[in-house]
Amino acid sequence: MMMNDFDSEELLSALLDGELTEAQRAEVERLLAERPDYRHLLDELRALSTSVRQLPRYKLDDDFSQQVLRRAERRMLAGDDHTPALSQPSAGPIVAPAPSEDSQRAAPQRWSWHRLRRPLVWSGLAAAAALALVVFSPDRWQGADRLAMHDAETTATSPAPTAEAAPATARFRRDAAAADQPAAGHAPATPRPDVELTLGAPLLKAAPAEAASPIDDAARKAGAERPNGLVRGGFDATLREEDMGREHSRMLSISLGAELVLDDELVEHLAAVPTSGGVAIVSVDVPRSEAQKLPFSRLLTSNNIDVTSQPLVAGYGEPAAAEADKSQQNRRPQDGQAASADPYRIVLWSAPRDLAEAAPAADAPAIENYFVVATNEQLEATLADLNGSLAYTSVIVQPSPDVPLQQQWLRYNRAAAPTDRLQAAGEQLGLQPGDDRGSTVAKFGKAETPGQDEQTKDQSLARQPAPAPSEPQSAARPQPAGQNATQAARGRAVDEGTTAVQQRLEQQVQASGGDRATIELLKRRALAQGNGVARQVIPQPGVDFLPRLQESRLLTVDQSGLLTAPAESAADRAARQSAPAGLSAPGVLTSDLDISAQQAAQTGSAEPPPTAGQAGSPAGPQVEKRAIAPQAAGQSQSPPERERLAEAAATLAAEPEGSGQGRGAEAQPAQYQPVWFFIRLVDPPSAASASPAAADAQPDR
Amino acid sequence: MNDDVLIDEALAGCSAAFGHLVRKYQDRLYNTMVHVVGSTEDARDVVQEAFVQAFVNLEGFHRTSRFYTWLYRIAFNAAITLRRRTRPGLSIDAQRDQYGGEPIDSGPAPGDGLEQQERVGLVRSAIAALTEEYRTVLVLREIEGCDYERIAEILEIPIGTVRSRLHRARLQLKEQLRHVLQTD
Repeated sequence: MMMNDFDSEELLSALLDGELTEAQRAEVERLLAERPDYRHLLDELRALSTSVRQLPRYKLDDDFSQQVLRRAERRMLAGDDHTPALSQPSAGPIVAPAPSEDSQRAAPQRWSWHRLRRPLVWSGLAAAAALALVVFSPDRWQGADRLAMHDAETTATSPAPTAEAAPATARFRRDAAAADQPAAGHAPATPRPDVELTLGAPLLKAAPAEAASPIDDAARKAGAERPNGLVRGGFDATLREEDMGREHSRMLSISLGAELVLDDELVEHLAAVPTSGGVAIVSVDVPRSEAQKLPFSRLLTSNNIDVTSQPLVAGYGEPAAAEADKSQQNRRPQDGQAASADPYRIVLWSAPRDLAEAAPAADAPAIENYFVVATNEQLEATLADLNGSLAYTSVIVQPSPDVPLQQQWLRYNRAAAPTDRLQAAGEQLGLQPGDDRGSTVAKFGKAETPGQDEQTKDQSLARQPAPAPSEPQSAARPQPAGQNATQAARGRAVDEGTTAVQQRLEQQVQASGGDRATIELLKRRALAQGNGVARQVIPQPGVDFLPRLQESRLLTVDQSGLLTAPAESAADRAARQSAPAGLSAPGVLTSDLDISAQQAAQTGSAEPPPTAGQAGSPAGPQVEKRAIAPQAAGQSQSPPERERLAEAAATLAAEPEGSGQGRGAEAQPAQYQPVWFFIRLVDPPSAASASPAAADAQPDR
Repeated sequence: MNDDVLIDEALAGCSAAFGHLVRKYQDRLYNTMVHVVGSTEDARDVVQEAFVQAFVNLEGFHRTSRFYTWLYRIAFNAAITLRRRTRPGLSIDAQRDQYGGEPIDSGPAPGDGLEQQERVGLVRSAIAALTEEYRTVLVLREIEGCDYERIAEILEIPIGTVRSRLHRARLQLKEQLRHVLQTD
């Protein structure tokens, strides 16, 4: 070997690697012909290369990508270069040099909502017990997006808001004095971070929120393990202090499409949110129609989400409204009943004014958006109510950031059959009786409060329409990209169909003259048609939603991710049977259709629903329809009402072809798919825009 | 699926798309980084950190280079930082001990028997004993199979430097494995 001929030897390496030009190759070949030592070196390098290339290869875990994504989410929330995984106790954090391609990025980092929503939602939900919801109304904001931040641990009792138009980039800073003023029984508040929201629209400046409804230590301690009165799904959802994230709670709300700038303090706070008290953001759009605002408000209230008219963001409401809000706000702490019954009620509603009072402008957008801060339980309960209420017929689940677009529609619309039928029904402006395949309405037991009015009861009657379980794995099937447009078209068609159905329903309800039995019948028929789109829980690692449901003994989750109603235990059955009228026993999953059937059976004017194992039941969707004590059990019914119920039962209990197998009580569990997050409630068309035939306005009996 | 499509989807909020990118490159990058940083544990951290940084900074990726190249650049920067911080010096014996019990994939081994296992261990140790600049070039060429241009792009050095370093790395490796090579 001639080490002084390094350049020539280097050519040997390059020859080995195929990196020589023709001229260089000719030169090397000449050298090889002349120099045996070069030939020997080339053989050695070739053997060496072979030895290295034959080294066994290493592989990572299959779930490595998920670990990466989770960590990336934390990083995006943290917004710094701290790398825990690389940080050893003996050494400081590694700060990897930024690659040249991103070197031009300057702090603060700007995250688009589209990329942030997964962290905020999924990570938040994974950790969340406290959920951030914020309210805004497009008409009042005149298209302005906003961002509000406050402590979820305190009742927002902002002083009279001061409107302050801000430039496109607005900065919200909590009042320093308010920040330094800790709530009684709470640790001093940490410095409040600034949040900067960059938007193309004018912004309004947030007003500071003060702690006004402090909970004393004793009450908090006593109530930490005490149910807060929230009853959902037949079980008392105990809201623990830590679950509410009091120690770390902070509400952050942004509007979709907004570009959010997280400063260091905020991202530090978000990163510090413990797993027991995270923050998530859920957006819910609520129809603006006057007829539905009050029910929606009550729906929230029934789930312990106080509806206050106190704007969290200054400048939102009119001064008079603000004063009224203030008086209402001030009234709450003195409300001994509410305080004693629910010391942990979190008042996170930030509506501009009372929903019942808010009158939308004629030219206002057809959708109001509500973001409400709530706990997981409250969110679940609220979603269940929204999901099951006919007042919000069109429930559209926004795409999950984890699912390719071409799969979104099917993933969230697994009840394609009901929606297709719904579409057809909308086109025909007729509800086809008996076509209830896969749309069994699951009813949760729910305590009724004395103040709950009939309208709220109506909403609580129907929950959780079920999808057609005939293709339980369909959602997991990847969809070709070419189907994207088709699915989108289908989604629009479904929307139109559901709107048409609701439109017709409203007309029929109006034509009923307020006859409750007729309304009930109509509602059940509509539900039997499939109440909008599919419901599905999207199982995500770390999300504590499913375990909670499972702990409630209401539901189990099968391997496909579907929620399944477990078999009713003897104790549950006894409790159910002993439940008073109007209150379903906890833990009992029931079918609204069976309510009708049983009601009809009690009237003796309709056949009772088939029992388990009844011969002749054709095979079909496996839907459990468990007879329960009906809402109206023990109540006398007028003959017309009985007739209507009987008709309802005869119509709705009629099994579609191939759907009777699940009739048996414990034979097959019900499968239904609750909506998870990002619900969008579409405003139904106004009566003026609807042009149905007058004959269609008659109740369909 | 094309990397650009996946990147577009990831930027649009589809984390799953980035997950596809991770799964696409994770093993290649990891296998490379194991030899660069000298341990599977550190390599895992480096690879994870590289993907995390890539995700967080994805909007700053202007696609003037391939995603894979950009990713490797991030990974090598992270690996260099890690080694400078945590591993001032490594001995061949330490590397041999460290590699000894590590799980490897189920792919075909270079040979059967203790002799082959020993040979694999010696080669690994010899690579680990190289200086960093030589090792990275060698690994990218022999383990990852990059051509000179790609290596130059990843390490941001001239192609001539790549060829020079690679040859020096091979010479050093040859010296360390002289006895092994002589038995072939």
